[in-house]
Amino acid sequence: MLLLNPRMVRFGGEVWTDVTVLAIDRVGTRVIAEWGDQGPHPVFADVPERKTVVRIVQEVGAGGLRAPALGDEQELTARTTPAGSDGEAYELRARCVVTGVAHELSVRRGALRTIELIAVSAAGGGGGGTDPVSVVRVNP
Amino acid sequence: MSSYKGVDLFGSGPHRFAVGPRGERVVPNYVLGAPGSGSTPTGPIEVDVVVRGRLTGSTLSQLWSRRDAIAVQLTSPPVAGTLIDEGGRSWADMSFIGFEEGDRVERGRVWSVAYRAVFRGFI
Repeated sequence: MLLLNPRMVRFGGEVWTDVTVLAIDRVGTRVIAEWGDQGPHPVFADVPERKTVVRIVQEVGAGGLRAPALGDEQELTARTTPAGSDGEAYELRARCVVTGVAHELSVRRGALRTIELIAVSAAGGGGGGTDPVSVVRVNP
Repeated sequence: MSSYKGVDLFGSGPHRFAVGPRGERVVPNYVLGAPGSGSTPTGPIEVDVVVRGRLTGSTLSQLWSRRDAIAVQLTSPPVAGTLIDEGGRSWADMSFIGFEEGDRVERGRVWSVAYRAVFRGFI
């Protein structure tokens, strides 16, 4: 899932401005593949352990001193509309933990901060059985 | 379809059959107290057939019922029956002597657990 230029990104009580990219990647951290006696191809595969990685790229200016702390856990909220229109809007919500903050400086793109987070499933919501990311349609 | 005593125990998931060593049990003479440094044949090895695979269920309770269906076949003393693999090869008079599960139940698209089941042809 990829959101370009989301209209709003919040992490707990903080508002992250000038976000250019919000990407959600799914990674299988444990993959099972099983073969049978009848041929060379797997007959069963599953992904019982997986990780949802959220990556946020933010343009930072002179006020870029306040970076999120590693290990912080908050609810991430992002709102977007198709092609930035005033049409129907979607809100993405995920409980996330900050796992990385990196900065990049270039003449062409200026100063960029990349924040990496892992989305976690609520402990009370089936002990990891529910998708940590939800997307709902909201009024613009 | 594989079966043991006519029951499909392992068909919920992938599984493979392996036949253990065959031949003569040979014991060093010093173990038997026999003279000399050689060894003595004492009779044929009991053949094991090992089934390794993964049980699956769409729910945890369905997976438990499949694990229980296997466990109920583990009797003491064992009662021998016919074991048949997916290719139709059969082994008569096999006793189900062991069932060992993997270190975790997995929950992905389905619930599943790896296992190793051992059948022995007692002599």
